[in-house]
Amino acid sequence: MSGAPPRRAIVARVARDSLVLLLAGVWVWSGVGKWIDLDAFRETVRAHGVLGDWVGPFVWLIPSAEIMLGVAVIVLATRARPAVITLSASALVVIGLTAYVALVPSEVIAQAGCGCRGAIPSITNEPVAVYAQNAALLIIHAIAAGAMRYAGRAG
Amino acid sequence: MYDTEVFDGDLEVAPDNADPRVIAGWCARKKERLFYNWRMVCDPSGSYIIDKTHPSQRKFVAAPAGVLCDGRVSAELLGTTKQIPGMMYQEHHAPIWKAGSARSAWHRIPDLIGHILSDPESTITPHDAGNPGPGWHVSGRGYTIVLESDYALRLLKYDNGRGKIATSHVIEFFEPGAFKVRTPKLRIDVETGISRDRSPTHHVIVHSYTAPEPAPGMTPDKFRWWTYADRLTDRLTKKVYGPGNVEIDPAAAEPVRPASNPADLAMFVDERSLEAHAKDPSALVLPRRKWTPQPYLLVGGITLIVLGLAWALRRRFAA
Repeated sequence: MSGAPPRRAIVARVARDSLVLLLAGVWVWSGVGKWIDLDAFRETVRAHGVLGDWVGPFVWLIPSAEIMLGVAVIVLATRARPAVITLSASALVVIGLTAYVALVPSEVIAQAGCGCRGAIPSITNEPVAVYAQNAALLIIHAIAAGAMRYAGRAG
Repeated sequence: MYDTEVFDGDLEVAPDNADPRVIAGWCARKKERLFYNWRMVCDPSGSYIIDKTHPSQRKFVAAPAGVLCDGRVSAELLGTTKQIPGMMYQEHHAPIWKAGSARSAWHRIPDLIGHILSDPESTITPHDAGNPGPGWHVSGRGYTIVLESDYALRLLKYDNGRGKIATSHVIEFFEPGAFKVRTPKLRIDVETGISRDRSPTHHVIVHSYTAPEPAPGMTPDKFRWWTYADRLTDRLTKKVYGPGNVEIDPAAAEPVRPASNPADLAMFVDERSLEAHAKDPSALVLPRRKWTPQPYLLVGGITLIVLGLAWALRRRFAA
């Protein structure tokens, strides 16, 4: 939309950058929260009983990937194709983690938590809250993708 | 410290006829889920505590959640609350009590045997295949219990008469060591039934234990049950005992509210997890979280630094 008024273009960029910062903040916050108390995160994942012997690698991989994803979402947000790829990867990780949570018995989630933010306690351990939170994240991904596209076309 | 591992799946062999070691080997190959990680501590007199506190919660709780036994008394422990009345068994119950708890860690067995024997059609007969000598065979109300001559519990089987059969079988015991009676080394639980689609189901749980270890610095004169529970209730007489085994008035034995002791306030448990634990003793009792800004500040600070660096990187890329 090259003919869009400059003001709308500015609004689109601000919206894009705000959403990108929000998504990146969620990823980095989650990753750092896990990193600062890796032992607790490991015990939580072990209590989930889904990964068996893969708990060790998973515990290192997930917080690292989250932080890298957060950085990538910001750095690549202004470039159309990499931004789409990054956002898609981010959304896929959200879906993957949601699938993981679905594999954990709900009573275990209620007791041990989902471990989503590591050292930062969750407001509630209800599995439905985890699903709602991830659904909201996916919606934000979609809106951010739209804002990116609009801002890109507006120049 | 001992682990309990849970396995689900179809057995390649019929559980009633299989050598339990075959089942154990099958489970080892099918290693799927690590469920609990329990710890057992004991003192030289033979008392012990099964600490069911989840490992991730141990740093939060002052006392273990689980079962306290000292050969005469038993108390359900709920982490830091100390509010749930325990249970006390009278001396004349000691032999069965030992069979159920001190020698097998299955602390509900004495009640179960009482329940079985209250049925006029129940039987209790000697069996000569026990180790180290002849033991007993208790049967009734769908249950079968096999005790060794030293009251160690070898087998517990329940048939509900509708196709569901649950069997717990102790395969190996630890000989007396730090703990003065035999304790299970390897136990296999097998549950068979019929699923909703009428196909047969088999669930196998393998409990592998490590030898009980003495609690550091624990001696008989130092062991006090009231370290872990505020009061105990004799199930038969309904008498209530407080610290020092002193009988106290039940009316005066109202649990101390945490709010009356500010030092304990931070340790008060999460009410919802407490309710869940009351329904299912295996449910974790979680401490009520005391809000502190430190983790938020730390995580928030690092997050802002990372985001700032990423933003600077982005500007550099855009330039």
